[in-house]
Amino acid sequence: SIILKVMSSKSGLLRSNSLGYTSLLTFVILALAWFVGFASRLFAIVRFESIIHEFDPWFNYRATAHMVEHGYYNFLNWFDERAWYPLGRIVGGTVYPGLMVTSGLIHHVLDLLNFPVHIRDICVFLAPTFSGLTAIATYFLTKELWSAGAGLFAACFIAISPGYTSRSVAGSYDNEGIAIFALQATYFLWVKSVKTGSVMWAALCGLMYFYMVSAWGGYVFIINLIPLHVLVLICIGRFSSRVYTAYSSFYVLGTILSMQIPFVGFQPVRTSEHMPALGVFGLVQIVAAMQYARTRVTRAQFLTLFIGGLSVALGVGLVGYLALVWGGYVAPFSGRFYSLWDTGYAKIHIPIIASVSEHQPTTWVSFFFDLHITAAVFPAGLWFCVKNVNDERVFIILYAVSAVYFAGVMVRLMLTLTPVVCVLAGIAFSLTFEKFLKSDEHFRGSSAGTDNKQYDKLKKQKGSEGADQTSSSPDGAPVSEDPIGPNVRSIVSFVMSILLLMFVVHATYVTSNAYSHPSVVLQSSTSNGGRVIMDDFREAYHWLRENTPDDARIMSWWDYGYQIAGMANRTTLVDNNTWNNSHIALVGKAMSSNESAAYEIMRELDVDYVLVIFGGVIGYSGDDINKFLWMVRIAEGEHPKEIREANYFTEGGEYSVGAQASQTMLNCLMYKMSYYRFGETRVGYNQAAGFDRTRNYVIGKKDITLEHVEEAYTTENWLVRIYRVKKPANRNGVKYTERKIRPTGGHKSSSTVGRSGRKGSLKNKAVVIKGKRPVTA
Amino acid sequence: MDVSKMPRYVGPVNPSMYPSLTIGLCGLGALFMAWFFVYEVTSNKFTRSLAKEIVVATLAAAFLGVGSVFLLLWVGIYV
Repeated sequence: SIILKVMSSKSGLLRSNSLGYTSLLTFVILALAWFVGFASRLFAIVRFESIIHEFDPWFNYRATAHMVEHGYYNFLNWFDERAWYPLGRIVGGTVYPGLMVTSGLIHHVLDLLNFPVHIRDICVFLAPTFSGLTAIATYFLTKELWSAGAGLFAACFIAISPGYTSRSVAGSYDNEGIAIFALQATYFLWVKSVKTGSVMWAALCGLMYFYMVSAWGGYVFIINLIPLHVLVLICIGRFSSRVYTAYSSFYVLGTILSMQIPFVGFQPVRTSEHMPALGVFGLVQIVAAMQYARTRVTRAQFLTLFIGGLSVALGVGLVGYLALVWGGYVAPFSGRFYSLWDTGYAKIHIPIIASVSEHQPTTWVSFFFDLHITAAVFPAGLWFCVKNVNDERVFIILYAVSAVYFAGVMVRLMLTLTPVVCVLAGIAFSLTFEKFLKSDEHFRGSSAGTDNKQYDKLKKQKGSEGADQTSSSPDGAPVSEDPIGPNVRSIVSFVMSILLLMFVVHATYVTSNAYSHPSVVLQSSTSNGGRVIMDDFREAYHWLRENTPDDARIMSWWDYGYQIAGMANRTTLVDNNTWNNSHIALVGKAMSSNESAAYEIMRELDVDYVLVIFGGVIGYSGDDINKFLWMVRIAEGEHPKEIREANYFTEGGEYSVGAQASQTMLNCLMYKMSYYRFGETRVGYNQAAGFDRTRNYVIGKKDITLEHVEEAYTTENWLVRIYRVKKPANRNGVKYTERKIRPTGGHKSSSTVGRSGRKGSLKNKAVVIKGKRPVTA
Repeated sequence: MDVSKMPRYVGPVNPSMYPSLTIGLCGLGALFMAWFFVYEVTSNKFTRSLAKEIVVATLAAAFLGVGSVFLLLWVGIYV
């Protein structure tokens, strides 16, 4: 675009330097894209401080800190007994170590250079740094697919696109921050290896795929997309030795390398998600053999060989696969991936997956919010790729179609849609600018007069038929497009530039307002614009850290497990890993039962403290009472006889904690812990006592007494409430009504007031008079 | 050895000069870096001269290095 303009304007004089200036311009633009991507992710750091956000990043940070302190092999072999008490968690085998290794490596290198940076700062700033690298990888990918100009557009788009920024702000120390870079780089290397057919590029692709596998569980997308690409190439007749070399090298190297990650282990040969890759590998060998045989046998022999061999191979493959699945050697599709196809599956069978807000279907608003104009422009880029198809553009078409489907299923997968949208939008913008910015130098040999005549003629043709036709001029020089007048060109360029500016403004606005919340610290503004910071979470976790014994066990809902482990450094029962549904169901059952039943469960699990989040005083809507129904559902999934969801609704069938709430709801542990002492508090001067700001009504039961737990700490805005579980009583008191032996009498009668009735006096005491026998009274 | 009697330490460079020094030195450094970059991209095995490469690279490194010191001072990291 701009480069072409530069190139065409510097005709002759500086043409020898144009390559230099072009590369310099490219380098400067990519460096600026990196800088802008880095800077636009720093809003939270500037407003608050450099801390880790949200929930999952706290575990990643804790794991990285453990690795830096104890060494890499101790990290791989780490068994964490401070999580999932009493089960513990095999961390080494259940994490993707790429993120920790990357941070640890950067920390190590900087340390070697005598430039010590605290590991927390490295973790906080890792994602923005890698966003710049993602922009560069996207540039290379788009350059392979289309041109360098499109590459620059795509790089600039992905540097600020909100769909990607949402998961990679500074402080969001999560796998996606480095995984998208690895994804784009893998795709670039794959496209390059398909184009060149060289083993070197395919091997590099395998290595980058290894990095991707170590970084994120979304590598399953790559290992299904690349075989799909090869399959489609075979089907449309674009199979060549380049594709064969590329895929065989990539598959073999990639699979062996991916099995080196302990978490992945033998999954590539044992689960259904990896079977398509294996199947296509076999198919590719067969097709290559067919191609080899085609030139060496007669046509009839070849046909029988082809049809017979292919059908036999397919039949054997299918029967073999089904047999292995039936025999249990190959696992069927896991619940997480099956729920992408059958969207109703998770709600019925795996409520934990359905309860995560990120797993809900995407709304139209999210598409526009996260992608803005690129969402509208990328179908044009897709169409251009379809029109000018070659081997690598088939790949991007498949990527786009599958990504659009998955992004529609789950909000979380908008992240995988963003790179391809940026690539295709870059292509579309590049083509448009190329068409409308370039001056008409390609009309060779036609004078100005004939130009105008052609222009009028073609315009009339266009007007009469209403379709954009390709027509050849009467001069004989082939004209593929209508010549575009200077007015149209400037208007279109201006409008496109305005669109791009609006995209930048929108992206910055969205990043600043919507995606820069640390979630650990809440912020609101007073009526005169001042900022009110509510740091309740950290206050509570610090209280836990300072005021509880080191081996105290904290029970809370699984959302907060990682934060408790990271900030309070205490043992938790369940955390965000959610690998053991029954354990979570036990905690849910404890929260939803009445106090005595819950006390039994808590004694069994050795719980010392219970933590609930309560937003009724400030109006925080993400508190445990709003999540309570999910606790009930998950508990019901495991203990359907004791917990029934219907018991927690009102008579009318709606969920309420107000006056019409059911008795089960009003007596459950969660209700008691959330609203203990709340019945006497007023949230505002003109509100009734016990008015819940989040639910917007007065609560049902105000006089709450706790029997087995006692309040340990409530934070300033009542956001976090910590309760201590009381030890069992020394003597199990028996209720008076259940006593078998009742005390008899026991009433003081008025006639015995006197010496025999007073305290400390002996009854029937002998009165002694000297010289006489003692007389008993 | 009374501290209050000793003259207070003042740095050799006037702090009000930090912004202009930063922009000037970093700008010159960036200019030399760009020159080096273009030279590397447009030259081939025969036209490259080691002396020119070393001179330009040294100048770029020197200017960028001193400029980054002033950048840190300007931002508030008193190295």
